[in-house]
Amino acid sequence: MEAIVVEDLRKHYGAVQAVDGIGFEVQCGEVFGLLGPNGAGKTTTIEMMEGYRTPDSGGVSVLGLHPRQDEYELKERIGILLQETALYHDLKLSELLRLFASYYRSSVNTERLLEMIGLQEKRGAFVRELSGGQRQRAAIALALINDPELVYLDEPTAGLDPQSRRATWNWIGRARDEGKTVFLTTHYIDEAEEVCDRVAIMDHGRIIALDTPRRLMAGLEIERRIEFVVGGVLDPTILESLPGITKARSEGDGAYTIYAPEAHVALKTLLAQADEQGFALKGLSVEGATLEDVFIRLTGRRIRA
Amino acid sequence: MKALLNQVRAELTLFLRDQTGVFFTVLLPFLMVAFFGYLNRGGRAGDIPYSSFLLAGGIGLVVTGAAFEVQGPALARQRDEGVLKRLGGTPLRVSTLMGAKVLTACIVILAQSLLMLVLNVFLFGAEIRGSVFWSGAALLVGTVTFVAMGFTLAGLSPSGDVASAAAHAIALPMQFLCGTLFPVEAMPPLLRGIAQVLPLTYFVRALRGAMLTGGGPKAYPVEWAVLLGCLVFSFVGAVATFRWE
Repeated sequence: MEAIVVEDLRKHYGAVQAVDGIGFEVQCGEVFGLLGPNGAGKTTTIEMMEGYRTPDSGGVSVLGLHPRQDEYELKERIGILLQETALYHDLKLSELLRLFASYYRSSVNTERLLEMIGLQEKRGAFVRELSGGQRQRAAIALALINDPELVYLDEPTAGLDPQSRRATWNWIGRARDEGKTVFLTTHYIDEAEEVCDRVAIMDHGRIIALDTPRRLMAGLEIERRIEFVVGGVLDPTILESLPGITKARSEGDGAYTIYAPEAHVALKTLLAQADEQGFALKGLSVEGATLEDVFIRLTGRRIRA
Repeated sequence: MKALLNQVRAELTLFLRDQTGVFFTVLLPFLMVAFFGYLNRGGRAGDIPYSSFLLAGGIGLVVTGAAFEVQGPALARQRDEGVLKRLGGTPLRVSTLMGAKVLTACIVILAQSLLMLVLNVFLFGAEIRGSVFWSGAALLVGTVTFVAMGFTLAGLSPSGDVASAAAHAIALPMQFLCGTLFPVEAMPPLLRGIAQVLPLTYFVRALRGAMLTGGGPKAYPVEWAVLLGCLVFSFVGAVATFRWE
């Protein structure tokens, strides 16, 4: 069953076509990511699905409801994390959670929520006294306070430290385990790869690719980069003449980089060569394709330019 | 109803924790009234004792402070910060939010007005022979009017800072010129002319009439008509200019 259906959605601001005819479906219970650089139209898209913006044209259906016409019914059933979340600074954390809980027909236990985000000790602290990461956790708690069927997360880990990012990814995983649908936007490659069941890559208001991260990356025929260090000295031209290796380069100090269309073929050759000539391979690493490579292949640019 | 009361409790908590709010509603009006009341103790304003005159004026200061200078800019600030946008993502209705803000202002202003009454009666010997009903009615209408005016100003202002500056720029002259601390009749013609176009003048007159003589709209038709006109106008303005972000 579809949680979200978007059809030929368009929205412009002045001369800028922020969203230029996009369409996709999000299945119930999946984590769906919208990946793209800043200014790609991600926030405009998510805010049209939340009911904050009215599309110029096209259709959005969320949980079978219209984001504007069924505004209040929809808001009972969704959770929202805005890109820049501001909370009442002069309320205590527990007061804030109780207040937000009162907005909904039904809500989860606020103590359990505090426990989940690891801020039980901070329940009596003013929001203004919380650190950036703690506020973000509080904002996530607010997004989950009505036990929503669908959670929107706009750049959920932007500006967070690695530990908080990891924790956020765990909560997203847990939300999925509970059967919630998650729709998130991100400009982080690793986030899209790590947490999303499916990713739509967005650029200049259009969706240029949509699939599971694995299939998006597998679909690329790009060269893998293999790096290694040896005890002795090798001749790059000889390396290049070996099967499965297209290019080889010495990086000095016994470090070499080779390029190969298929990593497993090149590695087999390399290991055989090491055996034959009696040199030890150290520090061997293979760089696989990432969603960044997918984006570069499709647009010729990096996501974080 | 539960949502409204919850929001009132939160708004009241926020109001009391906001130092600007406490200054403009508690400190400033009471300092001014204490100062002018002491200077003119035993004096007269026209044919009534100055202390009796000052009572309604002091409440006028309280209302403009709490409703206009605090609630309005606070709304614009919450919009600036993105707090309102987040609330807009919940099932909370605009009417509940705004109703809670108005009710909060009513509670604060009622408490301050009673304090003002006690101060003037016991310290300066103000004489009250009015109607509780019409005094309450004038206070209610005045409060809602000035809250709505503050909200309209917030809606028209691009930012909280602008809303704050605009509210002070309008409120300060009003607080001095509108027959609050000095009788309008005692001022030079130019200032008297300015007072005639400021809504606080009519609120203070209607309230003073109700408190001192017990007269309602029948006794003060112009004052009540202007006040109710301002109420409708600013209510429409507040609704029309409201933005979540």
